[in-house]
Amino acid sequence: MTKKIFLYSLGFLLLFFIEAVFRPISVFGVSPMYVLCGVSAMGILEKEKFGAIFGLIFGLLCDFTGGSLFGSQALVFMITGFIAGTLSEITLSKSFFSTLVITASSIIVFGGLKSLFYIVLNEEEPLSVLLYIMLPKFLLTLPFSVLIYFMLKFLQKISAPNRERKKRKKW
Amino acid sequence: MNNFFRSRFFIALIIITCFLAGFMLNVAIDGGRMPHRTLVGIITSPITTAVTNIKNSTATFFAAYTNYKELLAENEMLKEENSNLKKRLENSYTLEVEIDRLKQLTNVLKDTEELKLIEAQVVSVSTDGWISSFSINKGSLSGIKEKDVVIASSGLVGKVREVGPNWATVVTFTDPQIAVGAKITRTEDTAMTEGTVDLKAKGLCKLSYLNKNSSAIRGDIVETSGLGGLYPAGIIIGTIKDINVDDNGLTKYAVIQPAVDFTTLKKVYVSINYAGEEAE
Repeated sequence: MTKKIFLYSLGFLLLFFIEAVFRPISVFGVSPMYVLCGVSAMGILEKEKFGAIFGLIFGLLCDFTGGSLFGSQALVFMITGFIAGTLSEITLSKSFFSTLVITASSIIVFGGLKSLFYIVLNEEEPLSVLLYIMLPKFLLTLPFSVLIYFMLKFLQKISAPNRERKKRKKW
Repeated sequence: MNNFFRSRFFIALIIITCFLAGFMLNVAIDGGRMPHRTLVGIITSPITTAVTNIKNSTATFFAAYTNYKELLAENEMLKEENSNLKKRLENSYTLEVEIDRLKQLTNVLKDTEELKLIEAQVVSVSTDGWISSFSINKGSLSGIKEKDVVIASSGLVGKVREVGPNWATVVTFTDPQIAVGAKITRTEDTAMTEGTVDLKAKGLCKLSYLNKNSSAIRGDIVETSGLGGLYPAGIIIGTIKDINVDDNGLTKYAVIQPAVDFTTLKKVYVSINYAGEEAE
């Protein structure tokens, strides 16, 4: 369990640094939400507890980078991780497609709400917000949700080899 | 499922959600402080600084090899520029002496307090994509306060939004939430820079409320006017890229190319003693 948490934490730290420090991809100043993808995948793979806790911790880290309102990303990531975990137990299968659906829904729902506030508070044109923030964010993030799902699945695999090996030896 | 909703985890989740929502409301309504914000910053800032240093040194190391030809050409160009500048410096020295003499004689120009600048490193960029901001590795321990002006070697960057002991977040002036009193250096026309979502996406910003009769042209330099008291006068903002008449037909607006390239910004300077900043 400790090994699993350690490996996941390393994976999430990597995602955080890619998003906040390295930023290899950026269109109109918007970069993919790697951590959100990780949280969705975590919820799908490891159920709601892991999803919510990792969402909260790494959401707070993302908030530190100077987002709009401190705590907003933590809240969104935590809820996303929790919902992903809960839905994976009820309806969704444990596949990359589910991660894709959860990530897309999170961007649309929470991003949509944020867009509304942004448009009202800053008197911005809705089309500009859609074209220059929401759309690039959506299109850039989705492909990575698949990649990150497989990365976390790999970490899940290598974090539990001892038990499997022991089982094999017994047989 | 009923058991789940009564579980300790679910209750803890609800409490955390309420806390976060409460803190956010507090900040949104009356700008209250968030203790966990400071705590996260204290822990995270040294780590992000270290990672940024690794990133920068790796990039510099590889750039030295991949851009060798470009570096050679740049070196030649810099040598030539250096010799030109030396000549100009010799001329300007005599001018400087003359200006000093005239200042003392006429006492027309008041002594302006020199800005005390704190050097800081950009350690991380905002991840949410809504606000154009970044974090730096210096904070209140270095004397930085909220609303302090941030500049780079090439011009204005923005202002400090939040401060912790060893970190601060800076909002760039291209963000829609920021407006800066500006002046066109050549024509002395005053106006105001404003960020818009579409221009921010292209790394540009808008110069609004420009007089209809302004003779400003493309390539004119825009600097801070000092009006409004938030930013000291004379800091370069950028150059005019395009000029148009507003829809109302009464004023003009220009599109500015900021002097600072925010995508490659590594070091900034925070002015910690600008007296005008209390004016807001």
